[in-house]
Amino acid sequence: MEKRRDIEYEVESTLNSLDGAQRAEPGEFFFTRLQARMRQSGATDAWERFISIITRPSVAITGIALVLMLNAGLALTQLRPSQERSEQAMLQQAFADEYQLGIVTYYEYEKTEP
Amino acid sequence: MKQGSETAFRQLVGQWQGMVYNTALGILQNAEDAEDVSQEVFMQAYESIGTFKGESQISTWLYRITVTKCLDHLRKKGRKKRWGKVYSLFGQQNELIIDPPDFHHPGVALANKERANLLFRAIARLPDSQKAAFVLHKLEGLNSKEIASAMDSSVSAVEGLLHRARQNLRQQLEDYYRQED
Repeated sequence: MEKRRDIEYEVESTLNSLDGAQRAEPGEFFFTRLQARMRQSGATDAWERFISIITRPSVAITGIALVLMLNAGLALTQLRPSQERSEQAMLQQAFADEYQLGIVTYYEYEKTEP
Repeated sequence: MKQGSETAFRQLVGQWQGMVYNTALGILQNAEDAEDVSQEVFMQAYESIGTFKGESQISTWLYRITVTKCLDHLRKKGRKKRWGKVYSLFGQQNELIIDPPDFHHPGVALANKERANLLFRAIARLPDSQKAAFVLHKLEGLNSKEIASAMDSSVSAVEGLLHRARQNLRQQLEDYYRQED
């Protein structure tokens, strides 16, 4: 019984041990340190903001999707040549044949000679 | 200050730095972390002074920012601590897994130092919201209504938090003193 009362007393005293505690103050020149940090963070803010925007999942996924779509579009246009482009290719081929532009190396030139 | 006056900001910091630092120190129990968070609080206050409508007291507004920042800091620290444990499994050195040293609040009278140290150790084991409510009540002397404003909560919720915090602390301290005997 006595022991129980002792424990209760100890617990109560410990729970009340912060009563009347003085307020802790930060070290001297707190404002100077704060100003320095504000100046430092101002310089990195723009870059950090940019990084935080592009690393957002929505922005990153949209960007990747856009690049993939552009690639797919380009591939499709390359695979399906238009009439205009095939005519141009034929003209180029005819021009190359006419002036023997197909021969690009000395050895090939020699081979064509009888 | 809303017009960006440095003198006004300096005055604000000078007037409230003790309150902000003391709250942060009580919750975080680490002088460096408390200084770090106090700086962040005033940085945010400087940036968002335009949104402060003056409906609440400036102290309540600063308490709210401080509590939010402290709880964020504790969450981040908790995450780092968990990762520290994972890393330690793979044999990497990580100081975060070591329990922090005993905390001595500089404002506590010498006669109460041992008991206060014990109480802070018990406070450190409380859930974050109970910890914040109890520190605001004990170290800053706020009543339930003021804590509710600072924590953006209802008075009844704060009273519940304080009640559970006291229960938890009492339990921890009883266990400790029983083991002592």
